[in-house]
Amino acid sequence: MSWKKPRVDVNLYSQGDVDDWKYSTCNICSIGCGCYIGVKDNKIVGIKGNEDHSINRGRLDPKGENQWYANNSPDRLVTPLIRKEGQLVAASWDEAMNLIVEKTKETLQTIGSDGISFYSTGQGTLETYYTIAKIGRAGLRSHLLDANTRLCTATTEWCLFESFGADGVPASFDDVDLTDTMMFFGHNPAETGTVFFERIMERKRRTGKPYIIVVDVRKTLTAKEADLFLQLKPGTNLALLNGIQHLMVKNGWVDESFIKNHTVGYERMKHAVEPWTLSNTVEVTGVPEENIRQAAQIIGKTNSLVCTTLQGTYQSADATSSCVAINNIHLIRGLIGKPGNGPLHMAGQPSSSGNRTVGGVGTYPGNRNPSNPKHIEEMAKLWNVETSDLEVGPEKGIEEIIHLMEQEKIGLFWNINTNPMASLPNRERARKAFEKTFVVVQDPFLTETTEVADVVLPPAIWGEKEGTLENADRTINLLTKAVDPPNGVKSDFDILLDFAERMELKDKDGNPLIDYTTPEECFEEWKNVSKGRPSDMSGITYEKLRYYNGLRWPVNEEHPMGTTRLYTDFNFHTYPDDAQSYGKDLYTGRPRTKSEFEAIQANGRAIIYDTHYVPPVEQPRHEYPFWLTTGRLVWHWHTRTKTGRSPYLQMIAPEGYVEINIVDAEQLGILPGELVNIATPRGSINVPARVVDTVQPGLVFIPFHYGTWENNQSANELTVDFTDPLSKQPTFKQSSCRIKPLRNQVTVSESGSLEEIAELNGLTLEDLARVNQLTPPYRADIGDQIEVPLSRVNVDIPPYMPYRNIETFPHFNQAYRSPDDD
Amino acid sequence: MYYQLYQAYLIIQRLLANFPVNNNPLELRISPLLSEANNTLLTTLQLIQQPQVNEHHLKYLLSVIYRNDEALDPLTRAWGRASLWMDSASPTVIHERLKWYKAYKKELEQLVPNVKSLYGEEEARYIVPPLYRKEVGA
Ligand code: SF4
Repeated sequence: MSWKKPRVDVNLYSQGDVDDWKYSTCNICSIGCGCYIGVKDNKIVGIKGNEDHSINRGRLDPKGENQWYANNSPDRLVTPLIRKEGQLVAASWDEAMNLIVEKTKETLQTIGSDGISFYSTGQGTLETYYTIAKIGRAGLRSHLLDANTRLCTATTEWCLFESFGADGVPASFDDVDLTDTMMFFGHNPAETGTVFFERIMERKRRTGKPYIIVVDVRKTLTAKEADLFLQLKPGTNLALLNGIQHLMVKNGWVDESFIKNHTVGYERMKHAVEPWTLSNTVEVTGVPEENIRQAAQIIGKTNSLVCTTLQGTYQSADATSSCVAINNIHLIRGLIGKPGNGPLHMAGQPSSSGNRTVGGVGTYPGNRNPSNPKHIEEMAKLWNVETSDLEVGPEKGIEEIIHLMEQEKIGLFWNINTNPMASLPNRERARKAFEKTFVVVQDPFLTETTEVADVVLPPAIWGEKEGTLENADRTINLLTKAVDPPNGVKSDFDILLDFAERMELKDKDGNPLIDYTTPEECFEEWKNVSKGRPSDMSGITYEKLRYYNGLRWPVNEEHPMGTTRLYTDFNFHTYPDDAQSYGKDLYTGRPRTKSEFEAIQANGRAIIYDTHYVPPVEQPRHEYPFWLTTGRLVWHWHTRTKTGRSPYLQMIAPEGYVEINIVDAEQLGILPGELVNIATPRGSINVPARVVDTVQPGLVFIPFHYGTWENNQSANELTVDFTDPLSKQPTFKQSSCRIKPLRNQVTVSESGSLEEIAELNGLTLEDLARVNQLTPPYRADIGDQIEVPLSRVNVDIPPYMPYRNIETFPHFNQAYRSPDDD
Repeated sequence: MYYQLYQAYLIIQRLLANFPVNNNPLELRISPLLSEANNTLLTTLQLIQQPQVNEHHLKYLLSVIYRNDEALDPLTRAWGRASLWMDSASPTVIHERLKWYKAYKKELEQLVPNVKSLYGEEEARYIVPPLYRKEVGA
């Protein structure tokens, strides 16, 4: 059972009582906390946690509590915009939609159906995604449906295809409440899924369980709570996992009977991990021998295990292979499909999994394989279109779409509720590509991406629309409409329906392709599409979702209350006509043919793979001697479109920075808070330095939230745009860079001694000496050039750790290196 | 069909002749793909010269050739960027190789009408990935 006691978190700003508390779900991260929206005079004035919702029992984190400020932000867009003579100018809905229709038709004629690309989001509703799938695939016959989920959870999907034949995380949050051991692998839930982490820590404080293993390149807030922390070198996830698998095999910590009866491929895996001896693993990963040994022993002997992964795995080298290796670990120990067990590959956004489930991105709706003619026929029948209208083959990721834009093969790029000009890697390249295409941006605010838009459509946001979300553990939650959107604003769903009508999209009998008119009607259609498939939702109604506070798919006649964990019968989706994908070669990413998949002869058994380590593509070298990694803060969500509009969150973490280790800062003479230039072969940015001990020497960390074109603080000016060969998820976590403090030169004169220069620039003499690498006694002669920092700011950011009841304890030491460290 | 396959085979020979270029980690992934392309093209060339072509086997080989390039193409482009950024090969060499990879893809695109005429539009969809066979206005 989750949580011992409820705690209702409230953030309300209202004079007098609210008129109503409307049932809803937090729309920020993938945890899916239940909440109520406070409404007064048709305006959102607050939020409170839903104490009956098992996911959070009333708790909310700072992002969740502050999300509603964006609704009332005075800079909401309330009218469409069209670019005319280089400027975005207000337009009517008719003008904007007709222009989009005109461009769509023109593209279909001049380039063809793959000249149209939708790039949506992980923040939308299942109903919106399903409608994108139907319009994009059946209406426009496009193959190029992608979403920012590519940057977030594409690897989840591919590792699940590979090992189990279909999407759907095997374990759920309930297993987290039962397990003896948890491994957070490249996952920092203390900052990115705060309520989920609080839930785990609440149980740990009470019972001492679970034993927590954390694997990360940084000493994150999650790592601070670990029983065993493995701080590895960047880009060596798979090496570590191979080393752990090696020890498990060597010591016989495997379940032979489970392997024999329910899996294929074990021998190959055994052979592949043979060279990963402890000493080889130590050498590659930099993790001390004892820690690797201990991790393998605990994982090898524990009675129950849940492993989570997130961006530290998904956005790293060997992303899919690493997640598959984690699946391997569960399979060779038979720790799957049982209470307290299973891989729990997480999602980032509140409904990124939902987009995959209903086919707005990835495969066809209801886990249907785009390379299987039977599945294509099923979809054609369900949508009443010709089979030849539905494109065949695995999806293309955004990197591929950008390549097509560069070649002017995309005539219309429809960007829905995402801000790629801040979130895509190597964004200058992406910008140039976008500038070659007609770009529609659907966003409530002007963003970095609207700067390259030809049309901007203002959609409704959370609280102003209804629909369903799918969180990280297959729970479908309900959003209800608390208030009307501002005048002039329409929901994503209604915008798409309007487009379908204007395009006169028809089924093969000449009837409108889209004949539902409300999200609930759409959900009813989707239920029928999902029936009999892994993500069966035929047993869900909106009413039921509200009554039971969410249900986990599959929800059908057999499981009317949903399904806590998958594969309890150890029967996996690996029959060729059941599988959601025939998979890809794990090493090269080469898609498999049907006969190749059949040759694996999994037929209901899970697939264990041999996983082969490949180092990161770009590595530090003389010119760029540091590793660069990027990530998130507890205080902001993605590109801050919403959280940046909360005065509270914005005040706490107002600007970008770089975290650098104390040792490196000392070597470079960098002072805490000093402005530095970070450069990579892609570009450079200027940000203040936080001198910390949480990043390892040789590594720097930059949060990616700060992407404005003007501030020059965007981490994605720097990142590489390489992708995982299977999931096509970009490798944000490993680039190389150099760091240079930005300084002014001051000449020592008779009237300007060192002390005076220091004082004039707000420095101590010691600071000035450090900057100039002077040794005591500090002296400079008249005429000598002395460097002073160009600027210096306070970059302290408080941590958020309610589970420890300590809110102000700094989790890093912003300090000089102590001489005792030597 | 023979002409395009043979041209494709020659290009792969050329690409294999000076491989690896700089031992960038991407070449570890590119290497088995180049070998697979080489072997599959050779087998296909031999097969289509038989008096009685096994169409089922040919379909499989063609499927592999296209899927192979679907994986190879993005990896080679990434290799090009990585090599330039890492300054690990001369730009002339990099651009030259990228040109040949592109030419290889072009050959496969030109092969599509043959595949379609041999197997029909519908079946060809399961052999040739969309971006190689999409026609304007399709
Ligand atoms: S943990 Fe996630 S879902 Fe829950 S309140 Fe925070 S942001 Fe919202």
